[in-house]
Amino acid sequence: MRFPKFGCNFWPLMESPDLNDSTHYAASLKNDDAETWRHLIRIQYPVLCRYAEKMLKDPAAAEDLTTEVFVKLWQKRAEFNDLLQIKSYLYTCIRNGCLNLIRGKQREESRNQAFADIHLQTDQHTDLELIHIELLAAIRKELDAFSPRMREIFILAYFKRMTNEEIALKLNLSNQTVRNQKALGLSLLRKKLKPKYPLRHISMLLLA
Amino acid sequence: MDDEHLQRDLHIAELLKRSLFDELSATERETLEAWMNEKEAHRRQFDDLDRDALADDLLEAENYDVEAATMRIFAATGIGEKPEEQPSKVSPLYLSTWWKIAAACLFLATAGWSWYHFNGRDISMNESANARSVVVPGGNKAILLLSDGRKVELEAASNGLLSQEGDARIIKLEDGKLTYQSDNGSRSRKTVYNTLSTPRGGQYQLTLPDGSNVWLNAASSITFPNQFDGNERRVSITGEAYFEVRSIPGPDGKRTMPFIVEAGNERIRVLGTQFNINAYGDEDGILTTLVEGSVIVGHPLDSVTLKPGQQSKMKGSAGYKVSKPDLEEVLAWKNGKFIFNQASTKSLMTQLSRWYDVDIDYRDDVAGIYFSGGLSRKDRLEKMMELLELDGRLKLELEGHVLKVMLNESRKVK
Repeated sequence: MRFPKFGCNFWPLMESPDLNDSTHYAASLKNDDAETWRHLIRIQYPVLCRYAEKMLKDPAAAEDLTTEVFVKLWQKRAEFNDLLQIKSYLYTCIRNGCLNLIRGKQREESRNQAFADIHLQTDQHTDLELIHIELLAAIRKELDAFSPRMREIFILAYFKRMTNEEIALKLNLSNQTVRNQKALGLSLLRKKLKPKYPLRHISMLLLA
Repeated sequence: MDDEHLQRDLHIAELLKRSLFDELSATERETLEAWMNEKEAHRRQFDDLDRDALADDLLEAENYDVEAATMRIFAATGIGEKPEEQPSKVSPLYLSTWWKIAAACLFLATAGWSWYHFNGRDISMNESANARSVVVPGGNKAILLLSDGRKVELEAASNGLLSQEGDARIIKLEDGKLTYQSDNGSRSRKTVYNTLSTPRGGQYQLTLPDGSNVWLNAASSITFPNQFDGNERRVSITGEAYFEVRSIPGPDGKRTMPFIVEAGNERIRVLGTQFNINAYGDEDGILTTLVEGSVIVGHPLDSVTLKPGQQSKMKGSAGYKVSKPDLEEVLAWKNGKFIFNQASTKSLMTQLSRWYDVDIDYRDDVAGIYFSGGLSRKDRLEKMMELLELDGRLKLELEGHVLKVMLNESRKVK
C-alpha cells in the first residue's frame, strides 16, 4: 500500500489496490488479500445496501442481506477470475435476495400489489438498475481517498450545487473549513484523475 | 446475464460517470449516444440522470458504517487473519549461513517498559515557537544512564564528548544523535552496561560501539554494553526501536558475530542487519517484522524464520503467526510520520499519547471506530485533533496534558 506525500493537511490517504487490472483484482480476492477485500467492501457495500434498502424499505434488513452476500461471495471466491464476474455475482445476489425477502413477506401477509409490481419488472429494468448501482460505485471509487466528511462536502457542492455557505450551515462547519475541504478534495481528484482527463468541469464548479 | 452484455453495461456506467466528472472524448460520446438511441428507457436514464437524485443516493450510502461491515464480513470469513505463508520452523539456537547481506528486521514486541525509572517531568519541554500551547510535538529527548549510575540529559547536553565507558568515548554528535566510538581492536578489561531511554514525546538516534545504528521511538529504552566481545552481541530493549546492525566478524574471524535483541520473552537473532524494534507494554501481542534479509525470532515456546516483508506475532500456545503488514505504516515513526491503516481509535490515541506526552481520557466507548490516514509527527496535536474531528465521529478536548475522547453528540442523535 502506498501513501501520498505528507505535509498536506488532509486526513484519509487510503490508496486503492490496482483497480485497472480486474483479473489481478479478482486474484487478490481469491488469495484473501485483506486490502483488496477492504476496498471491495468500501466501494460496493454502501451502494448495494442502498439498493436493497430501496427495495426492502428496511435499512437493517438491507445490511443483513448485503453482509450475507459478501460472505457468500467469499465462499465462492475460487470461481471468479475477473472483477466483472464478481460484480455480476454481487448484483444478482442482492437482487434475488431482495426478491426472496419480499416474496417471503408476501406469503405471510398474503398477496399484495408489490408482488405484481416485482413481476412486471423486465430485464431492461434490471439493466438500468445495474447501471445505476455501478454508476454510484464508480463515483465512490473516485472519491475513495476522501474522508467521509470530505465526501459529503464534495457531493453537496458538486452534485447538489450547494454554496459554501449552505454547506457550512447544513454541516455546522465554518465557511473556511468547507473551502479548505473542497480544495483538498479537488487536489486529491486531480492527483488521481489528471492522467485520465483534465477535470475542467469539476475545477470550475468547485473553485467558484 | 451474459458477460458481454454485462461488460457493456459496466462500460456505460463508466461513461456516465465520466460525463459527470469531465468531458467525454468524441468516441466516448458516440458510444454513449448509440446506447441512448437504442431504447427510449436508455435515453430517459441519461436525461433523468438528475444530479440531485444521484447525490441523495450517494449521501444515503454514506450512512452505512463500512468499517463495522468490514469487521462483520472479516469475522465471518476469517479474512485478514490468515498467514500469508507457512513460516518455516527452525530450532531457536540454530543459525546457518543463510544470511547473505544485510538483513533488515522490524521487530515489534511487547515488553514491560522501564523508562519510567529514568523519566521525570524535570525534562525540559521543547518550547519552540508554540509557546502558547502546553502540548507540543515530541523532539530529540533522551536520558543516558551510565554504568556508575550517573544520568545525562541529552537534550540539555552540549555537543561533543560526554563521557567515557572503558575505551568507548560517548559523543553527542548533534541534537538527537549519540555515538559510541572506540579505537579499533582495543578492548578494556571490563564490560559495563549503559541504558539510553526516551520519555514520552522523545526520540533519539544512537550509534553502538560496533557501528550499528539504533533509532529509539518515544517511551522506549535500550540497554547495551560499552563493547561487544565474546561470541555474540546482545542488547535489550523496551518500547520501540529501529536497528541497522553492522556486520562484523565473529571470534572465528569468518562468520558474522550474531546480534541478539531481547524484548520481553522474545529474542531476535540476526547476523548483521537493519531492524526496528517496538516493545510497548500497551500494544497487544509481540510483533516482529522483517524488511530485508532474514532473521530468527524465538520464544521459549516457538521460533520462526522470517522472510522480507513478513511479520510474526506470538499467539501464546498457538506459537507464531506470520503475516505481511504494510511496511510504510510499521516504519512511519522512524520516518517522522504517523500512518494509520484501519487503526482502532485506541491504538491511534496510544501513539498520540506517546508522542505528544498527553494522557488519554475515554469518556465514551469508542470501540469500532477506525481511522486511516497520516500526518507528519512535526504537526501540532491540535491539527491532528482537528482532522480527526472533521471526520465527524469523535469529539476531542484537550485540557492541559489530558486529551478527552468522546463520541460526537450530533452523531449519536442521528
